[in-house]
Amino acid sequence: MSRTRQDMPEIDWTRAKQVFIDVMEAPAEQRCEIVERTLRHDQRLKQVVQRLLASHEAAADFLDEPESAQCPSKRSRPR
Amino acid sequence: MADARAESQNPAPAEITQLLTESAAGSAMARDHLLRIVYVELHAMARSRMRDERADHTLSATALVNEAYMRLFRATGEPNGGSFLFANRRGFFTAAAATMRRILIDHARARASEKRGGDQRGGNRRVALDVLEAATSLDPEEILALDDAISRLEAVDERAASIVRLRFYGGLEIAHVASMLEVSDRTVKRDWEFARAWLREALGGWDGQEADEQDAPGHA
Repeated sequence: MSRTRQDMPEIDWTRAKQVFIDVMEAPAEQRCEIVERTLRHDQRLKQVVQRLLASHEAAADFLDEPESAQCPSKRSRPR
Repeated sequence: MADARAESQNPAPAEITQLLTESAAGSAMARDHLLRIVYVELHAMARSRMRDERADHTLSATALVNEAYMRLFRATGEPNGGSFLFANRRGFFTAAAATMRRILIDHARARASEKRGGDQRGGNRRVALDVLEAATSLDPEEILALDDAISRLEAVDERAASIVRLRFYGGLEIAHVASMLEVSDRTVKRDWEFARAWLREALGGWDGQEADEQDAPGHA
């Protein structure tokens, strides 16, 4: 338990970052869909990106107006 | 420090680069001028860092700067070293930020061990990453945890980690970091956002919050 999540091997962080940035720069209402679409074949990376986005949103509230809605998929995964 | 501040008002990067070059070529005047600039620069860094450090008055901005100054120029000033270490302004600011980091980490370690000796405060290890921008306060433990996370970020995204260090330890603005790293402001902003999200996650910032009930990917 002393290990952290970042010890996880084989995450393609370059790709995760790219998707994260693409999503961040998209209009808020399209973000969830972009993640779903872009990473539909990589559930694990999708989760990573979703966590980053949630983390970003949690942090952003302090600095800015929260500008995006939470992904519904976080509560109840569609499909 | 008002006088030191007045001496050099926000030197342009070009000016510093010029001074670094001349100083490296042996100009004593350029070197003296540079020293003053560095002092002012570090003092600004210290003040921005002191806003983040809990104001418990165990470490004053002036003390911090003086210490940073000594360390920085002990490193560069060795006469028989011959070469001026800071070959460019990027090297210079990176070194300055690294100096600040070392001081803060040493300080945080000392205070953390004091604390452990005193009360067993297992408490809240979450770091409010927002202090990176909106200065509030950081516990010594939090500083250490954050520093550790930044080191891990380096393996994921080296440039993003550098940006965090320069901003957090160096107190540099986005535009300043961008010109230093010779990338666009936009790139710095993107990296910064990614880094913040990554660090927050790495530090368990959403444990017990609205972490998705889905399996945390790959935790050991």
